[in-house]
Parts: sequence; C-alpha cells; structure tokens
Amino acid sequence: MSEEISRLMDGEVDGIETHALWHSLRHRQAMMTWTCYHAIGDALRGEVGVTRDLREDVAKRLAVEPTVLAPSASAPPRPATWAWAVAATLAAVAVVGWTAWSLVDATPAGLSGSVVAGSMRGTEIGPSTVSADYLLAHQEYAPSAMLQGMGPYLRDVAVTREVKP
Amino acid sequence: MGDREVDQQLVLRAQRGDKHAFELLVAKYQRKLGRLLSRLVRDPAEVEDVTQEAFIKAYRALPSFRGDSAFYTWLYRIAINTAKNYLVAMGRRAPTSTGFDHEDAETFEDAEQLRDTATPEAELLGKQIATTVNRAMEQLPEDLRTAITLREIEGLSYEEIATVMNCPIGTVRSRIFRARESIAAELRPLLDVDGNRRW
Repeated sequence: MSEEISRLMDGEVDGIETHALWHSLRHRQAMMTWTCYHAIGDALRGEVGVTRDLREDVAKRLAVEPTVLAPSASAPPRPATWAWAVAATLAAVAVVGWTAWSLVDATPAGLSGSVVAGSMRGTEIGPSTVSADYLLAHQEYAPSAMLQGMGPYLRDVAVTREVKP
Repeated sequence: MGDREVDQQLVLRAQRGDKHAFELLVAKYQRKLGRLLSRLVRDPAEVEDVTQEAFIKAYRALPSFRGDSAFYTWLYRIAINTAKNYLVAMGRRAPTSTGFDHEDAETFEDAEQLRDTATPEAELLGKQIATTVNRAMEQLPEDLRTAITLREIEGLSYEEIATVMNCPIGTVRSRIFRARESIAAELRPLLDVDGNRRW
C-alpha cells in the first residue's frame, strides 16, 4: 500500500488505480503515510512548516461544516431555449417536407400505377368472370360511396357490349 | 498525471461532497501554507489559527474553484486575505505586500527569507525535522538518494529519472519508495508525539 501511495503522490498511477487508492487513503495508517511522505518532500525542499499537524483540527471543523456540492465543471451544458426551438422547427419542417414529397412523388408514379392496376383489373375481370347483366341488376344495392369504385366495371360492361355483335 | 492533476482529482472529489479528499489536501499543503502565513503572522499559535481558518474558508469556497489556476495558487490567495483580515481585526497593520507574488506560490523559493522571520521555537522545530531528514538521507545508498533528490527537489517525472539514471521506470519507482520508507522510519517518531503531531 505504501508503494502505491508513493506513486500516487508523484502522479504515477493510472485512472482506475487512482480511484481505488483514494478509497484506501480513508484508513488512518494510509493517511499517516500520505502525510509523512509529503512532510519528507517539504523538508527536502526546505519547506518545513512552523506549526504542529493541523490536519485533525481542520478535520474536526470540517465535520461540522455543511457538505459542499459543486456542479461538475465537466458536466455538459444544458441546451439553451433557442436550441430547443430550432430543433422543433427542423422537426416540423422535416415532417411537412416528407409528407409533401410523398404526395408529389405519388402523382406520376401513382398514376402510372393506377393505369397498370386498372389494366390488370380489366384483364382479370373479364366478361367470362363476372356477368355484366348481374352487375347491372345489382347496381341498386351498391352504396353511393362505392360509385367511384364501380367505374372500371362500367367500362368493362361497355367493352363487353361492343364485343357481342 | 502530474502533481496538478492529483490536486485536481482531490478537489473534484471534495466538490462532490468527499470531505476526506479535502483533508488529504490539508495534509499536503499545511506546512507550505503555515510557512507562508508565518511571514504575516509571527506568533506560531496565531499562525496555526489563521492556517486553519484559511483551509476552512477554502473549503467553503470550493464551489467557486474552477481549476483555472493550480489549487495551491488559489489557496494561497485565500490564505493571504485571511491573514490580512485577521491582522486588521486584531488592530494590527497588514503588510501591503507579502514580498512574493503568485508565481512564488507555485515554487515557494523563499526559504532564506522565512528563516529570518520565524520565531525561535518554530525555527528549532523546523531544524529538528530538517536534521532528521538530512541525516536519514545521508544514510541512504547512493542510488536511492539520487532518485529521491531528482524527484523531490528537481521535480523530475519517473520517466525522466529513468533516463537520467539509465534504468527502468520500475526501478525508479522502487528506489523512490524505498528512500521514502527509510526516511519515514526516522521521521515518524517526530511527527507523532503524545498524540500531538508535529512536523
């Protein structure tokens, strides 16, 4: 332990080891070693103090002092209000832009897709599959909201009639 | 990690509520600070009081310490102001200048000046410590004495000492530790006398 303290006071230990050593220095013997080694250094540099050891007296006074809790200097700063406003604006623009792009993109592609779908539907639903008479006979049961959906069928019927003669 | 980084780590721990970390700083700097304050406040008992007060004021002011300067430089300013306020409160005139500036707070090369101003009791106490350490140094093998001298007096890192002494860093580490332990064996009885520790 004393060798680790010796290296610690010289700043020759890595971060993980330092953390463990700070904990070890809570023990009285380790604290005495820390104090003694520093006293040796001070004596060698001619910095011998003129008072007795004040550490315990200061510790007693510190014990009744309110514990200081300073904000960490390395803590990341909180984003300013304007930063939140900018972020919200960018998000809104992104949503609106994406929606608009989807609509624009759907216009040509969607139309061509509809043509393809319509042609396929026209191909698949031939006169042999669904009787035009049947559709006409049951048209009154179709809800009005479905009228648009009946367009292709009506066209098919017209084609069928042209084919018959 | 250098000496300043060691202090910075202790300060950070103290700022997070670890009072013991601050006690380690007290153990490290009390001699240096007491020596500084003895230039302003001559009586040793008063020096002790002012030194204690300076440490307590520093502890209270820890939230304002941002590490822009070295911890001792910051502590030095607090100590000087504490001493001046003390002298004013006691009706004595505070010196207009301490005779050395903030740069001296880093190196503190004023031992000769202090020898002239210390009280006879303080000087005797200091001489006991110095004599013990010097005697222990003389008894050290040459390689240990060189290693501890390069570290404590010249302030070289282990890597620099390894280059100077042409040996591995592990050997430097071992030599410095063994030197400290040998000196500490002689010094410990002086530091702990009837539970009233001295220097």
